[in-house]
Amino acid sequence: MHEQSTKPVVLLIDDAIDIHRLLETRLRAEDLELVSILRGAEGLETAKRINPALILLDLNMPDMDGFEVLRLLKADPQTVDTPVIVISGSDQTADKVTGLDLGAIDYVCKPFNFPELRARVRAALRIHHLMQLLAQKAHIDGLTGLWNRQHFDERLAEEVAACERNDRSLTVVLCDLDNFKSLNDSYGHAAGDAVLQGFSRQLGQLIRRTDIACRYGGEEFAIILRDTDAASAMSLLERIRSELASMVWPRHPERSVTASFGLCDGPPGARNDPNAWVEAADKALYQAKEAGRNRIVVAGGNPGDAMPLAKAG
Amino acid sequence: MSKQNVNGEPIHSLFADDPEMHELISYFVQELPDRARTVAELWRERNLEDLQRMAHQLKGACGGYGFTPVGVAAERLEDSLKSEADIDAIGEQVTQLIDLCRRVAA
Repeated sequence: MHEQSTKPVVLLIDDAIDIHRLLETRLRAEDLELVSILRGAEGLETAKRINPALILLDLNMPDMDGFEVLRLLKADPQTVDTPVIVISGSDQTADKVTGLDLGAIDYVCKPFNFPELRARVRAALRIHHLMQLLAQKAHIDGLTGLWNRQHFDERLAEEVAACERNDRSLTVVLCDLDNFKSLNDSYGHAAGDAVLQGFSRQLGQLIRRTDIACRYGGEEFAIILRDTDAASAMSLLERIRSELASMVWPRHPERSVTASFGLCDGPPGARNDPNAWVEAADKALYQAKEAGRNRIVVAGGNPGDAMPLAKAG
Repeated sequence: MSKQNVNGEPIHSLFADDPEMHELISYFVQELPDRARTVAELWRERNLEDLQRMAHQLKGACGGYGFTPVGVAAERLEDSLKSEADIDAIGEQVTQLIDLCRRVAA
């Protein structure tokens, strides 16, 4: 969802400048951007930095040869899924088998047959695109279309590390629909699902592009608000809270739905521990429930200071 | 060495008629004498390690730019250096490679 729809970047790692020029010319007509690197170690470092859609990797290079580069690419979680086509002057079966078994998706011999090389590059880019879609699907909650719990855990770890490193603000929100079980019991699970979907849609419309909204589980949601402190988070959350409370539900127009919110913009002591953020937000959420639901509580604050209570449903 | 004069007709690229490759080939041909000189120098210094690297690069480059006979000669030289073949045989292959480089034309 946060992927850019620009040209795929292809990283070429080959110690011969002639091959760079040749491929820059021969791949010009393809819908891709080529980045060319002369050394294995620098190629590795570049792969981590630019996260290419495909790597074209020469085998015979000084300092660090292609097999070693391939081994290191496949040992690093950041680059393990990046497709690699080995491009080599060697047509030896042993080299082909080694390259493919180390994790390359294809092996092309030099001198190149260019129509074939271009077709193989296109095929590899298609596979990469499908893998990305699959990876994204694995991070999306099927019912609501929001990010799922796994995505939340991964992004939270990243954002907590980034906010520590760059001294930025960050707010983590846990949110729970009030009396959801009784809603399910009274109107059935289809009605419950409709509420989860309706709230998710509203959430998606109200949050900003940089915010990350997730279904945390059941009727619980989590939102990561980047570059945002609790004070600025409050106005956004208050809008979400009040709009939800005033929504009319076709399946049960007589019964409104509310939610309680707990938020944390920095747990005391353990800022670099993602769990501490969630625990603090969860505690604040519990306080919001205890204080009567349909309200927002900031971790470390006094639950008595919670947002004024609208007419609860 | 009169035999070489007989076989001395210019070697053109397989891609000579490909407009996409035109500029690239003329640039390559322009640079090739420098590379041939480097090969000769490395051989004079008996710097076999760098010579092998150079042969490897010429193999890839000449093959890639459509100068197949030169690429084949470079490959033969690389293989001989890799297998530490007889030094006279290597010398002969260096001479052949340099002669072929001289015949390359845009």
